[in-house]
Amino acid sequence: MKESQTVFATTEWPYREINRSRASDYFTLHVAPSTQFYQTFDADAWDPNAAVVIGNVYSRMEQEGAAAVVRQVTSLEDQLRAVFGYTKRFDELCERVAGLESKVDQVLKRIGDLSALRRSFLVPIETLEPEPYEITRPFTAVVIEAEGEFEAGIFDLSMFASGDTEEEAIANLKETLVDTVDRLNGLPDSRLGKGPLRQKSLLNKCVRKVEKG
Amino acid sequence: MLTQDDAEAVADKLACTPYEGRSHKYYEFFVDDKLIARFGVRRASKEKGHGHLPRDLHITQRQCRDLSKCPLSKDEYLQILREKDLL
Repeated sequence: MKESQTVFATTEWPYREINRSRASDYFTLHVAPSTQFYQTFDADAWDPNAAVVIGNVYSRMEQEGAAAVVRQVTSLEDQLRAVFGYTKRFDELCERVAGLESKVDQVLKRIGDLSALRRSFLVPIETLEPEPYEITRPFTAVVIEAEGEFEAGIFDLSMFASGDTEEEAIANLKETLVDTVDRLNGLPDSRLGKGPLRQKSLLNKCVRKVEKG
Repeated sequence: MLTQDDAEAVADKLACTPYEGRSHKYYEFFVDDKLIARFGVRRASKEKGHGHLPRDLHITQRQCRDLSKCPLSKDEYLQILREKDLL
């Protein structure tokens, strides 16, 4: 029957832990992990005092010419400490970079939001020339830039048009307006729904056809 | 961006009547022989934007896309117009 227990562990000592194994009538001390040194004790010789155990192991290692290994392990320990030191600094740097990334994300989001804002401006509509219509009550169109195109609209008249440029959008809006006046006046009120009927009424208050001659 | 294809898809779905204007083609939506909505189609490349479409149809841009791409049915569109007291 074998049983095993860790009897000593330290971060100061080069050997991270020492396992005590029991095999019938003797104990084996396993100095783990890198030295691979073992020391066997008679069961009766087992000294529970960890310092004595470690001392015994250390002496045995020296006797076996393990000084080089000890130095190597110590050197590894130093390197590990250095690495842990770097790791700590690295962690701090990572934390700072994460903070900066978060702030950059916020700035980029803000820039995106600002870019997504639809630029808009007002354009007074004062003439429908060369179409034979005159404006009896001036109105203002709103031009909105969105998704690479321009939308022009007269909200009061529910009149909207699109264009590649501001000028094209306004020109299309004027054409739509004139076409709509013609079309709605060409239909009897009984054939107009609520929206178009209201639109017709408003349009006729703002736009009048000029008779030639 | 809503395009001419979207406009024509909406016109098909709503069974709109085409109407020729000066330099624009329009589609008119009649319900019970009453004109309810009309929208213009730009005579140019099919890629030209038709951002005015949602406002002409009294719906949001998303609803307009849904109307064009199928999820929104004609009946649902009519229901939206009813809720806005446009029918």
